[in-house]
Amino acid sequence: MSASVLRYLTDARTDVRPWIWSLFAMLYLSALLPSLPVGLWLLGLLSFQVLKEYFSIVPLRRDERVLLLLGYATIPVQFYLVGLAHAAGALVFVPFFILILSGIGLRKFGMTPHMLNSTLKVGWGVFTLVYTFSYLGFLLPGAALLATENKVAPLLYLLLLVHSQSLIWTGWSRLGLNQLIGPTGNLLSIGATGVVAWSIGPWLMALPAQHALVTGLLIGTAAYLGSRTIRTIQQALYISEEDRLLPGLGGMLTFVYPFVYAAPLFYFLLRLYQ
Amino acid sequence: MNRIIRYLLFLLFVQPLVRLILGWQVRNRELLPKQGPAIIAANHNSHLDTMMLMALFPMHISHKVRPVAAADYWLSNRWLAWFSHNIIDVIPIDRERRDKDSDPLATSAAALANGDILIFFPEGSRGEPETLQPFRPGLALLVERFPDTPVIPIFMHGLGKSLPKGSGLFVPFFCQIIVGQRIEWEGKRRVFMQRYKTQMQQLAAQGNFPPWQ
Repeated sequence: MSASVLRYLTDARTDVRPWIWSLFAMLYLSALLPSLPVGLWLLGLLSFQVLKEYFSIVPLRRDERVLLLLGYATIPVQFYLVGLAHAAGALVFVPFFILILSGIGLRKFGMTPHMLNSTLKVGWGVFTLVYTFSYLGFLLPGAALLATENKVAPLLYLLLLVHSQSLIWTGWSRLGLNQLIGPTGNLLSIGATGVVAWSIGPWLMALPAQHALVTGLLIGTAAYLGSRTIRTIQQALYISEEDRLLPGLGGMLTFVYPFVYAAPLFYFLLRLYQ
Repeated sequence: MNRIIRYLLFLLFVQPLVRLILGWQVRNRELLPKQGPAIIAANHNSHLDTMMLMALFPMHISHKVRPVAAADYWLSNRWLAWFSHNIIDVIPIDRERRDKDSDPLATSAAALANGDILIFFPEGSRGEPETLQPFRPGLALLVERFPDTPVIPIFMHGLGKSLPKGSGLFVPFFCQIIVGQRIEWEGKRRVFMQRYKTQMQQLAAQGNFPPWQ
């Protein structure tokens, strides 16, 4: 699995490591602090940083600057709606924004490939790094939409699952089990995430064992797909293996992308189990 | 008093803007001079360039870091002139040479003699964003007078997207800063400027930056 968090800490340059730890701290603080507004601020700040990184690495044109600014403006609105526990508002705001974005693009550039290109580039960034990422806000301690009997915030459970998958994969590569790197290893790491979820889910989240297992397997798959997606984007942009660990060149995206599919999926599963 | 205002400005405004709102990735930071005299010769895309370069240095030597700035712009009105002199501590340079007998580099030379670290933009002005403009020979003229002064080339990318010339709209982008190897003076202005140009082009190529059309 490419989004190996531990790999950052072992392979990344020493001057980058404090920055990586600060990302960890922001995510885990938001999961542990009992204040919903503080958690939302931290996640909103993280969303801003990764969206900025995305806009910094994709090829853009000068006349798209206004669209980017509008993209940034969605962050406070989206997280505010999440904080209000306004599920309907949080669900439709960004898709509605992308419709408006295409309208602005149409007005600005006409019916041209450029208009499609702009809408897709900006829209994809906002959709993944603001919209789906904001689902982490529904998993914060004190979030009203998920009143379960769990001992910890659902966000902490999700973080533990995604990062344990990275840990397992990294452990294999560190132990020299190279045959476990590749498709087999990915499947095994997803399976191992299922086992972790099964073993801690009933205790931390008051989930039935079979629900916990299914959750772990699906979260593991979603995190893997998120990592693959960002790696594909980075390869398409010719970002090297070393650079993709650096902040500003894709390092934040590599860190956050495992959550962009896993967060809405986990939210959906928890609503389903309720 | 002015130094306190300057510290506070950097602490409360410049550092949060540079680190949090913009963000940077500095390569080869170890090549930055630890003390003056030295010349930082960077490309110029935006008004944010000066702030970003000043923020690269630790606070305890920030008072020694002084940008060489166009007098016709930075001293154009009373308030800006006060801010430029007292807070940023610019070294004004007369680009238009209204007085033909004056030495436009005299203030820069005095600052170097005083052990300051100069921020110098050899392109002369903010030009086309994220595009290297032709370099003017002022840098070589200055180095000729202080041949032992380290000249550190720095290539920056990103700030021309954030706040390009002619636009008042600020859009956050990550800034990439690549610090190059010190360039030695070998006795000829043209050779020196050619070496500077080559090194800036090499630094730009290291970045593999996406196009900005």
